[in-house]
Amino acid sequence: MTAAPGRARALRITPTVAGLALLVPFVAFALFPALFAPYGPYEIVNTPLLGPSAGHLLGTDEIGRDLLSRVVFASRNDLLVSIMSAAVAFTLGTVFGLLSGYIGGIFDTVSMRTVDVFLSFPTIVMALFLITVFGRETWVQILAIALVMTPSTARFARGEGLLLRSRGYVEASKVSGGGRLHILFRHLLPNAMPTLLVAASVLASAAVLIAASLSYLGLGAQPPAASWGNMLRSAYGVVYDAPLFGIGPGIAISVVAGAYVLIGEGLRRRFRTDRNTASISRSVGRV
Amino acid sequence: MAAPALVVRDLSVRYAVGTARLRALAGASLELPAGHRMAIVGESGSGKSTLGLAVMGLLPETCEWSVGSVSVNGVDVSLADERAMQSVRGRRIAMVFQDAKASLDPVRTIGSQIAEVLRVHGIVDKQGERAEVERLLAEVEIKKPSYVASLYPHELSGGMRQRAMIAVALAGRPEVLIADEPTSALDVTTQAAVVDLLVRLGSSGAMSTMLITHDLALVAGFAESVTVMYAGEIVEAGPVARVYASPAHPYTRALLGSIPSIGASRMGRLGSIAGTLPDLTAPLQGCAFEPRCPVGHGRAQCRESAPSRVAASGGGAVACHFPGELPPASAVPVAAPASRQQVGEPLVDVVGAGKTFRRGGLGGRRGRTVALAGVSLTVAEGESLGIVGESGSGKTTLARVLLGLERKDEGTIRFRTVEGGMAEGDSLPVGFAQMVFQDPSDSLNPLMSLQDLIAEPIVLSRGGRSSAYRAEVERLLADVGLQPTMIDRRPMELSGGQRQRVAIARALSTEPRVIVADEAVASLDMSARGQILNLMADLRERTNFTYVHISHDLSMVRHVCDRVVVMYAGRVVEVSTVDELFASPRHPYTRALISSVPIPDPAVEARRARVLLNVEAADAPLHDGGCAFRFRCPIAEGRCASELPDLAGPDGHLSACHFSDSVAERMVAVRPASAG
Amino acid sequence: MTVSAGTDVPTTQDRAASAIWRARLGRVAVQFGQLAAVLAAVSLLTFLIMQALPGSAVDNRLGPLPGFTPEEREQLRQSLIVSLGLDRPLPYQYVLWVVKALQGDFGLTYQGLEVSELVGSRIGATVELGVASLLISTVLSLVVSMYAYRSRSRATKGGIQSFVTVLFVMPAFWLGLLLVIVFAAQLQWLPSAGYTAFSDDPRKNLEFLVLPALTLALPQMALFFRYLNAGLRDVSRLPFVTSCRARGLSSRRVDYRHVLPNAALPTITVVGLVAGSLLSGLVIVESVFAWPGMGMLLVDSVGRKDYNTVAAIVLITSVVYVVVAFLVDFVYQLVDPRTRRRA
Repeated sequence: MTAAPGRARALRITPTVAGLALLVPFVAFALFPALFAPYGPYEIVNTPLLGPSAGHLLGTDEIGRDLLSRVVFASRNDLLVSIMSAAVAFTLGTVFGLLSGYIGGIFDTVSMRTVDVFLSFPTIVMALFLITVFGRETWVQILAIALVMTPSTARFARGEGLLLRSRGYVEASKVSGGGRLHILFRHLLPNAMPTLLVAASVLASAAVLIAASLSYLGLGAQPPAASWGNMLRSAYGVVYDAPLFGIGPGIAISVVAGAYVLIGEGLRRRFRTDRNTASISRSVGRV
Repeated sequence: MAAPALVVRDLSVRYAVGTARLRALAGASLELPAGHRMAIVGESGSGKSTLGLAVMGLLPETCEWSVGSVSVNGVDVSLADERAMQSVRGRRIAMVFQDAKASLDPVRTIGSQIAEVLRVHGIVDKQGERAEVERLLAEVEIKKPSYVASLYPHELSGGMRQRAMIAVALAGRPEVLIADEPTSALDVTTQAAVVDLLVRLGSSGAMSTMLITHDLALVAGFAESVTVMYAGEIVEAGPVARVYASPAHPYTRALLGSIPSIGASRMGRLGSIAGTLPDLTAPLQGCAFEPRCPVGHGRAQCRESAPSRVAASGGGAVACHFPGELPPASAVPVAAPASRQQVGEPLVDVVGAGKTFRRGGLGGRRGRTVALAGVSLTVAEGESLGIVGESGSGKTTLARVLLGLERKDEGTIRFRTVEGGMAEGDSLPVGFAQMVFQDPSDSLNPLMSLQDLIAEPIVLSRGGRSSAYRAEVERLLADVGLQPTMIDRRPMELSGGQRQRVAIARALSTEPRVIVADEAVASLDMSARGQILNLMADLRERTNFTYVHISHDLSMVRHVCDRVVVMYAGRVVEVSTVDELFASPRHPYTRALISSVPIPDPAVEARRARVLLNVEAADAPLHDGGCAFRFRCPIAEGRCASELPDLAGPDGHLSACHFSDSVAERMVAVRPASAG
Repeated sequence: MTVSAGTDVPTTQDRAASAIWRARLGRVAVQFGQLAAVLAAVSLLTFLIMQALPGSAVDNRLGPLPGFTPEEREQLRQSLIVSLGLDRPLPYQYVLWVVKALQGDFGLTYQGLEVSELVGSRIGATVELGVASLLISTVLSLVVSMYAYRSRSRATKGGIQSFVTVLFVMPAFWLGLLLVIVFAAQLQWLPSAGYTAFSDDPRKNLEFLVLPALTLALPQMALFFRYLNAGLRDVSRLPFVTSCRARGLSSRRVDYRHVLPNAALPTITVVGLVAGSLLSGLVIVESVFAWPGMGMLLVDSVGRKDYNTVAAIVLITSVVYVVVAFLVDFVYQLVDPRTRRRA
């Protein structure tokens, strides 16, 4: 990613491996935070706003907690939210979209207009709404983020469905008496899967960013619980006193989101799907 | 003979494919005399297109190439010098590409694209630009040059676009014009008109033309000399009359034997070339054609040493150790004409089928396209019926309606049940008919094994798992001439011809009564076409299949069908037995079609006359109560605009024209621009 | 030069042209119908969400009311409910809300201000920031993508790609923080946050504008770049590019006159959609840089449970999105000749 050209070439060969390599430490942090964090997440261990040092690799926060420990402990919530919401959005959007593209007709028109309506609400605003209505629990966050990503996923999957519907093997199967479900499961899903997996990785990456944005706005994990987004929010208040405060959580967000992107890019090359996934990141990814 | 316009010496090109190097051209040399029309013929993988691009210095950057020399009218051209090549391209050597729609910039008008060439090469000054644009468009026989100049490529019909593309190429007043498959995307009548145009342009003496094509029949009507390529090498070259009359290379001979012709009466089995193209990434030893050669296969000389180029008797040159030698008799299937089966009872009966497509729908511009209008026809048990027509004639829609892939709007479809009575349905019932699609790489799911692909229709009709039918699949593979051991492969691992065999095996698997073949050989190379057509003929002889061939290719239809239905603009315009149709067509459209089909015999082509249609009227309204063909018809009169002609005629030879009985006298065919 | 049909235009052409315009008008009419339907659905959804939000608008309006007995409070509450029409059935309330909104009346904020005035006072700042960011991102993406496309060095191409990918995984507040650290805290070239009206002090206004505009623009640039880059790559593989080179055009001419227009035209729709959905980015960026626009107002209003304001902003922005998407579609049909129908 930020690699020099020499390393970029190594990454170019296996982006998936590079992505996994970046992701694995965070998965480990999420599963066993206490193994990696030098201190507890709420432990006040030193003077506030210390810069990075040997004792505190990322420094301390505004009340003297160890920043590295908080970044590590925040992994659990942030990873969980991103993976779960991407999974929900992927499942809903794919089924809805593929069917819409494949069945066509009125069903397609109505569902795509519905998608239009949902897409016309700004991503963050929609999530903000849902969380305000239903509360700030983790599952609400997951569902809210999933819901704002579902319409664009559906639109993307619909494009796949449309593309595959006219393929010769689908028609050949129809001529032989293949029903809708047979065609959906035997022909459409297997052939759409590579492209959809790439889309899923884009979704996961977008979910990381949306989740962090919500935390930044104070709608994610509530203090004193740590999240990368709310740590960055704190960083703004003290940018003149401790300029490096936000670097740790910021890099964590980018590395995790970037890892998903790399995995997706690797899958795309592996399966040689040329479909442009930019269209899916357009509406879900920007916050 | 004057000094050659184009000389190429020792041109070799290799493409990088992964870590391997694919040999696209291996030391090709050729001379194009000034003012001469030459054709380069070859199948895919022969290197013919690479040759054209290489001469223009337009090879992709990933390939390695070397060349002895290239010169145009005695002036050396350095392919490596991009700067210098810019003044060669378009100015000294111009090129016309296969697909004019894709080869013209879609967001620039025709006029601005021509003007750009004029300006870049400094052909005329600013004031003269517009006049020159119009002169060029007029030169390619476009009727309203100033209007057409203001249009965008997508606003033109296919034939007009190809003419515009030729005008762009002519703008730099090139000394050599290379046309790479310029007509393969066009309908047969349009193709004939474009070829005639190229012949006329190439006969002026000022410009030499090189036609790159896979179509041997086209060459016969165009070229003065022909160069045959195989696996990156030039295997034979010479005057077109000599090469066609007495081919010196076994490959040329086999190729000529593998194409059906409407000129000859039915030949029975087509010749075919066993095997496939050699692996071009492997180092070459001996003659590249040896493994497939009916003459040299197994001979030590052919296996061990590459043949050098020798003069061929009668003119030209050939690269063969045994030029002119005929294959041993047993190797040539001199077949008796396939026995025509008795035409049985009606199996399928279509009455008044209609289908209208609504375009755009919500949001788009709404438009209606009448794909089928009152189509009636009968398919008799055991016959091979051809349905021919140009794109947009409705022939494919008819097939799709029969198979239930589209719903008809009106009309009835009846079919013979197993008990012998006739039943009616929206389409033919599942299992009654199977379809062989045009492109096997699209119609076979790439993720499935041959086992699953071929067993799918069986599983769908009888249930169970595909592995339960393994023995049947193996037998079917053998039936279509594939090794049963291939059963676990996937389509990607097969050649185009093998894939189409799989598609046929799949179609046969549930023993349907009718097989509908929609352009089943159109996507295949010439040698594979012969194999597939022979296979279908064999299967027909062994079993009681009824075939419906949907095709634009009259030569093929003449070869494999008993009866022919000719369609135009969604209607049936003529129905007849195949021999009678070609001997005495009763509809002017059929006459035009037949006269446009190229015949792979230069002697015949030189004498041929052609019915010229008004190409530019192809988009006029088609369904207004009158005869849809009248806009293009050379003999239309007043009543054709108001009265729809009935489909009628004696002895089952039906035609939908008011002048069916006098069509021969009324139509005076015209000789195209001199081909000599 | 464009060869245009001059004086010798045949009459059939006029007829064809008018037919094209008729068809186009018909298409516009259908699109208008769809537009209206989507707008109606958007407003209904906004309204329903408002109903679902916790806390009652009436209680907010009443405030704490010290010195009132619970009975008096309830009385006042009931009279307010009746006067606001909240006792009527939901469909009636919805229609009333839409009718009023169409007249520019979104009710009062909890402080008793006109919502329309409050929102109106914030629109200017938001538009300034949005337009500035779009200008920067559009120009930058064109320059960068063309540079990457024409570069023959794999390192350059790879470097630009990597940089763009990094931008893609930087949320606005993190990118903004980096910019603030570098340009405000360390270099002290620009202020870290704040706003001055352009009419008060143009120079100061622009100084405040730079960082938020860049923060918004860089991710947009990354998105446009991806589209342009994919477009350039796809177009460069089309046969007409080889055909253009075969005409003797220089590669520079082919790239700028033929490849770029073909690749850039479809990107117009993406720019339009981003323009229409800017508010998502603005919500964050405005609160990061204390830029008093609609985005910041929205966040504040959600925090204050000031739902009339929230509803107004949400309705306005989604209507803007739908209308912009519609206009972009329409403009695209005018601009791209490929959407012209055959004469």
